Amino acid sequence: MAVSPAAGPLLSLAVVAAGLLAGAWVVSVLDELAAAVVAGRRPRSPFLGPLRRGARLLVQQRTVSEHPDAAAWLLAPAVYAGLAAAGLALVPWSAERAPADLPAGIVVWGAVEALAVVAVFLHGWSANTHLGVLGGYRFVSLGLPVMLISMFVLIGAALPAESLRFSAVVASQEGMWNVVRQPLGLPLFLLVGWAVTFWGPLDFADSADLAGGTTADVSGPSLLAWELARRALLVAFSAIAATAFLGGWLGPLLPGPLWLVLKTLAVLAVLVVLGRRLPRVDTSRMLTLLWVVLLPLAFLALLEAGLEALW
Amino acid sequence: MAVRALGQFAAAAPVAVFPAVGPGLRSHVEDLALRAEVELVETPRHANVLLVAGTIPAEHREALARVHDQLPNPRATLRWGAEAGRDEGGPGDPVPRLVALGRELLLGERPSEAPLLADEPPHPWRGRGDHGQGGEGMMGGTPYGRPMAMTGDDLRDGLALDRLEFTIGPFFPHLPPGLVLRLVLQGDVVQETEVVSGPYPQPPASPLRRISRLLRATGAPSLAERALRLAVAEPEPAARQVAAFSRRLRQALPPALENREPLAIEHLPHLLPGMEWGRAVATLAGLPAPLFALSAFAPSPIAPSPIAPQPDSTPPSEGSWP
Amino acid sequence: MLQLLTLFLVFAGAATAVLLLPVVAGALDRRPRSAPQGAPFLGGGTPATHAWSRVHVRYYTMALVFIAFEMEMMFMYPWAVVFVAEGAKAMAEMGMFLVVLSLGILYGWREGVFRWQ
Repeated sequence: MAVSPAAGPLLSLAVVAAGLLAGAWVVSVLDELAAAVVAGRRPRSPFLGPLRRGARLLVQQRTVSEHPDAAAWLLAPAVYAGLAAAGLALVPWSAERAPADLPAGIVVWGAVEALAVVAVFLHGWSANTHLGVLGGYRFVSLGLPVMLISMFVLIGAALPAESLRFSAVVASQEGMWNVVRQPLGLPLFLLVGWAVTFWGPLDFADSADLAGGTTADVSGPSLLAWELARRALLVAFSAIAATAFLGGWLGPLLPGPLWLVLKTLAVLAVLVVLGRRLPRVDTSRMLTLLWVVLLPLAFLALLEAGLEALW
Repeated sequence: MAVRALGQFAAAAPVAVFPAVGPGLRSHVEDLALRAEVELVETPRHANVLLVAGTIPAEHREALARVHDQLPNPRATLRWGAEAGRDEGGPGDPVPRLVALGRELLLGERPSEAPLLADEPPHPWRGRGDHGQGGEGMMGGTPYGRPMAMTGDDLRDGLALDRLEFTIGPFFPHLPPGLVLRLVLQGDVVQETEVVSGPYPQPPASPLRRISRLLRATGAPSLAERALRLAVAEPEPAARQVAAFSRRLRQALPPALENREPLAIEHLPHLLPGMEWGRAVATLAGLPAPLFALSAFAPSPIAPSPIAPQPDSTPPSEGSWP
Repeated sequence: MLQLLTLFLVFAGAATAVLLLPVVAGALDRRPRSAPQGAPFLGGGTPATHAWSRVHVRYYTMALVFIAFEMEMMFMYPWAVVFVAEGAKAMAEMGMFLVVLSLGILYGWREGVFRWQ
């Protein structure tokens, strides 16, 4: 039941790239609006502000540390962004079109998450600076177990679809969205989203106590590339969440792709707004929480998905 | 030409400022976070302008020069609030000058500042050593200008792995300005601490302001801004408002928010070893009276030293460091 | 096949675009750099050594448990596809697998593997 690719690879690339760029801007807009609400003030130039800051980063010099791993330092944001794009390419746009609806789409998304962890660690390590190395190291130890949770809930979404293809997962939600029949799945998956993009309460890589962590010694266009890539992965993640749990392009009246965009925006809003309201979780507490609470919850989510699929 | 256009577009954004805070001006610099035209950043790499607040003591001038040189071009420095201008009830408002500096830098009207320190690596390495990279043997020498990290026993179980040693300087974000610590880490757990110099004297800060600093250090800048706004607007905020912010902190810091005994610098070398980085920074960010019970931390295997009990919990007097 | 090509092209295209951003900007940038500009930021402090070091991987025990679960994940992928067809028997089999691994988590928790220090 493969879905035909959307009118050629180049067009897919263009649409995905445009989607990620626009999405990254939307993330910044939502972030500023949320920051204003939480801080109790007016938003400061939410729409043009991110663009202006991006322009300033383009004009700024790219500082280089004393003896970095230059190739890895340049490649880390590129790989991170490439993974985000690949992840977004897995998402079906409508019943007939998807850029890359692979038979094992869920497995590819798992690979995207795992390699994203590598990219973040590389970004911290390759600068050869102390705050960066600490940020990368801390991120990896907490990023690894999060992959497990992600895969458990996605496999739970795959059970009723009897397939690992994202288009099949969407089609299986024709009668009822996964967020309704597998209520534990989406909240756990959102936590994974925060973890993979080290956003909000799970920001262990670029955190304030490390003066920016992996970005402490990154400036100018490199910083712009990194922040773009990070927001791009958040957008891709939200699209996957919308596909696996909120029914993707399904919905009455409006055309399929528009529903997908709306649902992605909804997930993005939740991630960004809640991210502003919560301080970073303590590291050791997070480790214990992950393994002792969240992973068993993921088992439960899988169990409920299995039971629901059978009966 | 495209650069000019980009610069013009970027000039309307808030100016990115890295603050180097001196004695007495910590609260004033923090209040700049409430201004829309200025964005206080955590690392000089993200900044265009270095704001030197107050008079930095001579022993830290070199550290200041290091921070200055770490700003990327285009860069500028603004000196604010030095002794001379302080008698008129406050150091004045630096924001218009900051905004003007930022604009001029981005529009190319002001040249970028030259580096203050000599263009030399920390140790000469070119042409020396085994392959001309400055290293000797397996891990000796100074390859590319610095030695490699050497092994040492870990605090917790004596496992010998690499020790990362460095000094976090007087202008580390979220820590009390002027505090210079020499740290030895294994992984991200502190093994040794030595206080090289203590924090600069500052006027005492209200509890809500200290909570705001802690929130900022634990990655909740918007909540911190809200607390700061409240602290500035109402010198005596209601207890329930303070409690509401404290509750948010608890999530980031498991130990309960109690114990307001002032912590002296002499206790740091005994307190920090064994703590992982996040907790260590949170402890330092909440100084002098950490807003959480120190006894909740596991005692350090080196020397669990009791904190000297204070007869009463009055806030530190004017001139002592908060 | 075309889908795989699309996926690869999207990945490569995005990665190249983001790679070119600092590379091109760096090539066009003629501003000077100084050695102190490249020193690691430590708030004005100095490092005694390079940052590259054998970082203490305290969590290796946790990583082993993680690997065990990853292997289970490999089995769960095809299991998910045939689950509904196989029925309750499939659920029981995977349940047993999960229970055995959960015992590993319980043991690890008791042994203090999941604490940061």
